[in-house]
Amino acid sequence: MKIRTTLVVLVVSSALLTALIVIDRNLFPLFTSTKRTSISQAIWERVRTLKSLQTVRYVQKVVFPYDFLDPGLDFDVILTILRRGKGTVNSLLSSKERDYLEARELAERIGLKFTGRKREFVVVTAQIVVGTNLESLKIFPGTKESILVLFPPPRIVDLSIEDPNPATYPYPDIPLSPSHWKLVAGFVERKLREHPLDPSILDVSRAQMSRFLTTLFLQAGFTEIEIREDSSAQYESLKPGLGERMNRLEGTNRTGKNP
Amino acid sequence: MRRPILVPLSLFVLLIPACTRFPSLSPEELSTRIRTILELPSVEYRYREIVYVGEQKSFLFIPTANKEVLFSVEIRVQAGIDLQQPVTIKRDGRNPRKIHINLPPPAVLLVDVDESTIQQYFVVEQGSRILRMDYSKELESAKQRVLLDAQKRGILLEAERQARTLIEKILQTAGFEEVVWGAP
Repeated sequence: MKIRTTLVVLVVSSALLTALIVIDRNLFPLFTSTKRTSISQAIWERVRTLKSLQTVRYVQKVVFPYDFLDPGLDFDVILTILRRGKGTVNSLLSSKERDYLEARELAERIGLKFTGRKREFVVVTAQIVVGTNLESLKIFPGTKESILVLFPPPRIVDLSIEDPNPATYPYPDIPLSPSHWKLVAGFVERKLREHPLDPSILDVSRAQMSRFLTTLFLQAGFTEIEIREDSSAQYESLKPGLGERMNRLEGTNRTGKNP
Repeated sequence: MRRPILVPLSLFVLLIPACTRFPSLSPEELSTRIRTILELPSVEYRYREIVYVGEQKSFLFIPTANKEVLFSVEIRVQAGIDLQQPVTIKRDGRNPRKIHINLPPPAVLLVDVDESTIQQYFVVEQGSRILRMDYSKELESAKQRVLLDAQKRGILLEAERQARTLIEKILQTAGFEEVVWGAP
């Protein structure tokens, strides 16, 4: 009787122990790699809930028309190109020449004196928010404590032109009607959207993103963290072994979920 | 009969707390981790500021001097949590998955004028020259103007919000379910 009871107790104990191990595999170092995967997955899920991370806010003041009048260009030369050439303005002129022409035409239309001794100008303030879409983050856990994280390129999240406040406008006052102001603001906004963002702003955004992710994964216990901007061409330049692994993983799983 | 039953029971009692994922970090470890996170300046604003200097002088309504200059300059403002002040962390007495954190107030950590980015639009010097001192004075006031503008746009609130979000995400991953901001 005693032997049978002891056997039952032992069976129940081992069943209980197995169940508990299944519930939480953290107990045994044997399952360390599984735990690491689940941690990276958990971080990924938590980071994704942020949706996007605003990394840089760029308050860009633009001087109209001077910011669009490249001093290396000559208005007469632009007019000659247009007179002699065949085709549309877009096909005949470069981007800078078009900016010059459009800005000059608009400045003359609103009566701004920008040549000669009197130099008038309007300062337009634009607010540009640069961020990264965290929903597209890709995480590839490696062996033990290494991890590879790919983040999407930074992009403009928001761009808006601010209405000037006459009380705080620190530049010479220019008599400009609301409709003329609207024309200038519209022109500046269009040009800012057309032109790519300053590379230094994008670099700041990348650095911020990289610091954010490195901190996050260091705190989660990873020691070898590789953070890269997501671009398929970059895989070849990764550390030896990681690039190969990336290509293998990328071939089977493009969602960023752990295989 | 009593002794064999005690074995699985004690095993169960011993294993339950170990198997549930209660956060096992000590307050010191937590404090170190959180301070490491907070060492990052959490928010950066970049400005392309336009500076105008204009001075006209006249004698008996006759203009005697006119100096004008218009240029742009890049200024960056960084804000984060001021780690000169203490961070207090306390686990909740009743709920081990709950933690109380008291962060120091956010502060502007850097206002940097990058003089290498100065781009001059035009300069007028009639009867008077623009001196280096004129530039320096205007750059200093531009710096102050930008600092005030960044505060008005909410750089401090944004820095605090981002620091809190990052800490919450890390603590949630470490097993904490609730982070309460402010002293317990």
